[in-house]
Amino acid sequence: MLDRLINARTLKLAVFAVAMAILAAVVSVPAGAAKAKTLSQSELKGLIANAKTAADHERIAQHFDSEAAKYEAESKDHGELAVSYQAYARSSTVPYKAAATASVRNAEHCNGIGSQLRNAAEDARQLAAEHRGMAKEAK
Amino acid sequence: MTHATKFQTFRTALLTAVMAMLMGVISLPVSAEDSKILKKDELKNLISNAKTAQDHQRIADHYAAKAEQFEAEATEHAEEAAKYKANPNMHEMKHPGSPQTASHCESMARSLRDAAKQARQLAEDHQAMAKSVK
Repeated sequence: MLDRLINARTLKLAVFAVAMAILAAVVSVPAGAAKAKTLSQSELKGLIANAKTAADHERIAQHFDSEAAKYEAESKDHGELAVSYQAYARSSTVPYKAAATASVRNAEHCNGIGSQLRNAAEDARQLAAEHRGMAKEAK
Repeated sequence: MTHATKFQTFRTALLTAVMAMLMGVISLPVSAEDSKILKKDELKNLISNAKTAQDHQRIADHYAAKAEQFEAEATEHAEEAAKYKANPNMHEMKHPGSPQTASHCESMARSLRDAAKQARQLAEDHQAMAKSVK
């Protein structure tokens, strides 16, 4: 009787734990996959200080490629948000003139953010290219 | 089931439970940090349909969180620039003064600080709208 009770409790605990593990894995895998090529700040700093081999420079290049892709995507998003603000400013649902004016101003801020993120992406691409150059020199 | 098998099953269950808890703990901080950042579609919808103070407050919170994120990234890139300067690579030693790695990091930091400033202004605008519709 006691044996059966222990077995049932152990089995329940095992099933619950496996279910939790699968859930946690499913939740964390997409974020992990997206950041796979992005190094942590300490990893990157360590590589900047000590990169010697072609593989080291390639890892840094991949990190900056990933950063560039992130900034490019965010820049595009802010361009779309600017369009939404502009459309709202022109729409018949705007409650008062000041709201339309604010919306036009907000569109400009979104375009400004988009433009700054494009610049950041461009710098990240150039850093990646430079590290690829260094990888070739290190071969 | 023998005593040894039971012990093995229990040990496996315990190990799996510890791993599950560990994975949960690792994934939690990311969700908490990003909690105020809205998804693009959610934000677009709020921009087009915001009516209440709460709607504007959610947009303001989003932009305030984005500003913090941009500022944190700007700080990281500034630190990377310092690291590059402290450890000049082969190319930079051959061509001193040429605009290379450190200057790109400094430029990224400047761009992100500017993006943060604009995000703060968006947050302030929506904060003001939240007050005006109260």
